[in-house]
Amino acid sequence: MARREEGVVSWVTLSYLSGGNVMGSQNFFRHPVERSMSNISPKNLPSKHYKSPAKKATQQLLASNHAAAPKPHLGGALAAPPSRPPALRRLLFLSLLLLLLLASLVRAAVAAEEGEDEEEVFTEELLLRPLPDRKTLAHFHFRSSAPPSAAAGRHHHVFPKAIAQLVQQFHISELELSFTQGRWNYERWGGYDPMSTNYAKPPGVELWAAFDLPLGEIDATWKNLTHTLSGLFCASINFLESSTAFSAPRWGFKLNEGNLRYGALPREAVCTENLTPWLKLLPCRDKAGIASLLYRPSIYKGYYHSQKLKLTSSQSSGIIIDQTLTVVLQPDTLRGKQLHSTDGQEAQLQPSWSIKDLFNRKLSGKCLISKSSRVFVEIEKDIVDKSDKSGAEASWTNELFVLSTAPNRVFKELKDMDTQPSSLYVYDVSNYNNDKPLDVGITWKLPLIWYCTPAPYHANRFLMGSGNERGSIALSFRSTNLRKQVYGSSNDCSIKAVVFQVVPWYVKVYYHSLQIFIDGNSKAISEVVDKIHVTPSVDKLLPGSLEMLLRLPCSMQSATLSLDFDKGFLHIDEYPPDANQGFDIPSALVTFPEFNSSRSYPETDTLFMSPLLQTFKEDGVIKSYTEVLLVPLTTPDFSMPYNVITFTCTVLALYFGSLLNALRRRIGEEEMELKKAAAKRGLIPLLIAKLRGKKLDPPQQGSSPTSLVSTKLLLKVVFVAVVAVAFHYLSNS
Amino acid sequence: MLPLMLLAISISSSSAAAAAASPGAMHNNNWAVLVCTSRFWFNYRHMANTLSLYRTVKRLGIPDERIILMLADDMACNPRNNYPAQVFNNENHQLNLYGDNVEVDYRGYEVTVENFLRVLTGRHESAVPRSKRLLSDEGSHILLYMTGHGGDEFLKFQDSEELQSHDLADAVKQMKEKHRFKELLIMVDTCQAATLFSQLQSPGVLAIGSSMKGENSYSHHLDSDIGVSVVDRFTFYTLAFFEKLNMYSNASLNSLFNSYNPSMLLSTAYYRMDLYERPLNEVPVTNFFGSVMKTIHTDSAYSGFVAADDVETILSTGDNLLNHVMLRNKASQRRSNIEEMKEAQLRSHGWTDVLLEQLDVKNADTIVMYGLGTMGILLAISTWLSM
Repeated sequence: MARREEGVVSWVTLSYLSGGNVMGSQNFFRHPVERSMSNISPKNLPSKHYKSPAKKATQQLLASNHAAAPKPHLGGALAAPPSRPPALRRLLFLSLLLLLLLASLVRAAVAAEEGEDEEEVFTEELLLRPLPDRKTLAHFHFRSSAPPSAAAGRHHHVFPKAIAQLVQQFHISELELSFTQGRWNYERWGGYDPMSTNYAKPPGVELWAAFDLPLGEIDATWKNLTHTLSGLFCASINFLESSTAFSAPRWGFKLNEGNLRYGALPREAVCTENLTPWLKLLPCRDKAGIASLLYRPSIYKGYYHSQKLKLTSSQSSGIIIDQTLTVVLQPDTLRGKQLHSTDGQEAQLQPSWSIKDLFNRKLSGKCLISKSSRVFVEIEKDIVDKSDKSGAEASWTNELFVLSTAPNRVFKELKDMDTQPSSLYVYDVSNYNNDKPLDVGITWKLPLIWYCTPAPYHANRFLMGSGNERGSIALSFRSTNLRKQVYGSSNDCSIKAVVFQVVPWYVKVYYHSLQIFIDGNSKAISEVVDKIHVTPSVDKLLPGSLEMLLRLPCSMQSATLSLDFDKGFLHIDEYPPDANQGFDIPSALVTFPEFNSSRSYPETDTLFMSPLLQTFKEDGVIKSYTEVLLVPLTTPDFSMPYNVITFTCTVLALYFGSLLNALRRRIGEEEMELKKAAAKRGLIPLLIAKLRGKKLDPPQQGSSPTSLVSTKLLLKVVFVAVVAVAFHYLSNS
Repeated sequence: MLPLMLLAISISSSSAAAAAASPGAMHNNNWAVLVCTSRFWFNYRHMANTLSLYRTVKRLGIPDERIILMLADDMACNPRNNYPAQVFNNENHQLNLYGDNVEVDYRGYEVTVENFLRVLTGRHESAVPRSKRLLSDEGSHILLYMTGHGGDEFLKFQDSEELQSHDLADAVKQMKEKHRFKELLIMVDTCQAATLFSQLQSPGVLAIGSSMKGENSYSHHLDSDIGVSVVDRFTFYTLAFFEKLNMYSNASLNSLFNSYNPSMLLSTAYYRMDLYERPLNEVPVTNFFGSVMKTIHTDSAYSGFVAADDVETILSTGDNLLNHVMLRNKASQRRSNIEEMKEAQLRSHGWTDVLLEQLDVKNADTIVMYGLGTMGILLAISTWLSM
């Protein structure tokens, strides 16, 4: 504690000595504090015991300010006494400066030696990988870490303050927030590697968080957290606040003691406004380093776009945030030469691309604050396999492809099986600058077809049934025969699969109607389901959630699970403005706990610290998300009652009108009266009638207009008379 | 110790109350609430309108944390948009409105009448983050811009709700009561926009609408690449006015109002300024569309920090306040003068009072007829006399 404050003091001294330069860079390091401060509203502190760390933090800040403040005064005081000769004064001043400088240097050195792991670290990495269907995967990985601090709310240099405040206030131990557009294509882009396991996410927003709090306070904290995140990331995450939107899975999603909450918004739009605050958490934003490649129009043009923030916090390791952005892009194929061949599609070359083609700009240097800044190009094992078969060594230039720049080093995945490992070509961005930008790319020489390793089963989900009343959700598994490839074909084994799905309350699932078909044959539930946990939905209160552990036989080719459901009715106010579009049911998650996507790479020197490779090495069970379901519900239609009313009224009017006509009308009398009227009609009654603005009256009444004298009528007559007199006079003259 | 603290608290609270009660708070901050109320792709132009205004007010100095931007749909990353992450308000595609630094506070289903009124009146749930609140005070000038589809005294929100002129007037009244603004400029670009202002009563409110009752507001032009109209006429010409300006220009609201040409708009822009005190030719547009503050020169440095207690600074700002008060007095004097003159004119014909009374009480129609009759008789007599 004391040592840290000393560190602060020495830093301040340095900045004082070197003047504006350091101050300028300090400005540069500034984080979006305004927004972060503005997002955590003081009113919603859950209880009083959260307040103490914040107070402590301000005290500490004050303390460091105090320590810093006297320094300029010291200088001033030294310069002040006028009695000494100026030369001596200057000498004294200089020597003092030197002393200060020395002291601060020593302190800095000591701090560097003692607390290597104590400082805030930022790393940036980019992984590029060609995909079999002529597309390219780009994966940005930024990690910032803050050391554990005894006093919460210390001063941050690199670490975003907004996140630190979030962790402190809501006592988060783990949090993951992803914004995704598009769907990960498990069949083509792979389902058995760290990329698909960790970074393939369901469309829309997915948020889960584990709290370090007593169980009773978690729901309230979750609500506040959703509001804060919605302010921080410009998204409507606050819709996850209502109890109908989130659930508390116990083991189907991630094993926990009831302190985890999960929610998803499948229809949330993802756009620039979500990326901007995410970038503001980076120390260099998108002004320098790898993040400067994020040219918005090109990354939002992609087929898949997933922006994720993962946060882990513990007493021992401090706070670590991993910000990742995974995009699947279509490289500009205009540049790639097509092989002139008559073999059709198979002979087509894969498109050649470079960073410039993908992002419209080159990489000119690293973010100066980052500890390491690297670009990886990953070539999958299937390609390596082929290039090896063709006899060449897996170097950066072989007869299948050529990388445009020589890599700094090459990693090969360690595998003890006979399959070939994938290889990683590493480029250190610090070797490149504005004059010599990095524009790594790949040029294919021979047409090539390869496959990514799929997950053991392809999971799909779809709706069955028709009409507005009954339907059923079906979840199907299709074997990819991975097991046979990997472990040989023994048929008396089984594969575990965990299914987790949350269904909103207005889709009322009948969980008793679960049916399981394996290879088309109906099976008893007890044969397949090992463990099941159901939270039934409560109308307008709770969503239904299903956690299920299945044991599927290895020899199985396909399995289908079906659950019947009824559609509920919403209150008129609960319909969204575009209810006609239907309602989205969030993706289900299927996990295969026996399969692990972790990769191992040869041990490297401790200086080569790569969070990206670290996540690749971590244990990751194979996961795949299913599609989002679109359920059409009965929607309110106000034009329908309107139509009904107008139609029925028309019919009634026609009916009664004609009926009355038939009953009441006396045609003979009417004709007689009409004749009389025609005979008696003169010019004056006609005029009078016109003046009164009425239809022709029967002559009995018309003949005695004066009997119904009204002033208005009289006036009209007078007026007409006057006009007639005037006209007569004028025409005469 | 305790009584001392109590005393201090009571003094501070009373002074705060006094400050809140004083009507002559200086204009010291600017806010903007920009609302696009239309959903669906074919309403692209409404979002482009709102984003254009967003860009303008940002360019003229209002920071993002003082702008509440409400967009009812996602157009930039809409699958129908041929230009992902970009929104244009002109066919020439020179200017991407959806640049790298847009912060949308309310979007999609969140843009509801309820949320809109909550933003204006400040009655939020406690968990709502500060970035989604309008934290204005009695020194704030607020620009409220709304665009969407409207009609006689209403504005549609997302095709499912309506904001009525009464609701708007009520919200503004509440804002006034709560000292949430000093001056408010409401700018509305919808069909029959003028009708939305009919219920406003609160002083300090200025309103501009794109069209009168019974008129439509039309879009300006169609972009054949995007496939829909990209901007509305009223907003287009507003922007044309602002593109010529920068933060330091002195263009007045009057010049903005006069820049609207009905033959270009295809509708008649409507201004309601009877609730507004200052003469419009003296109010720079940057008072609402930008954030340009008046600099107060003080004799001693840093005295601003102790302004709460220091008498001297109060004096130095005092003459500024005085200026304000004088300006206002002049304006009100002029207003009352005009009113008096009007009344005097009316009184010169004593019988008009009687006539007015008659018109009010009885059937106006009969009186008019009587009048016509007498006129006819008079005409007849005069012609007869002339013969």
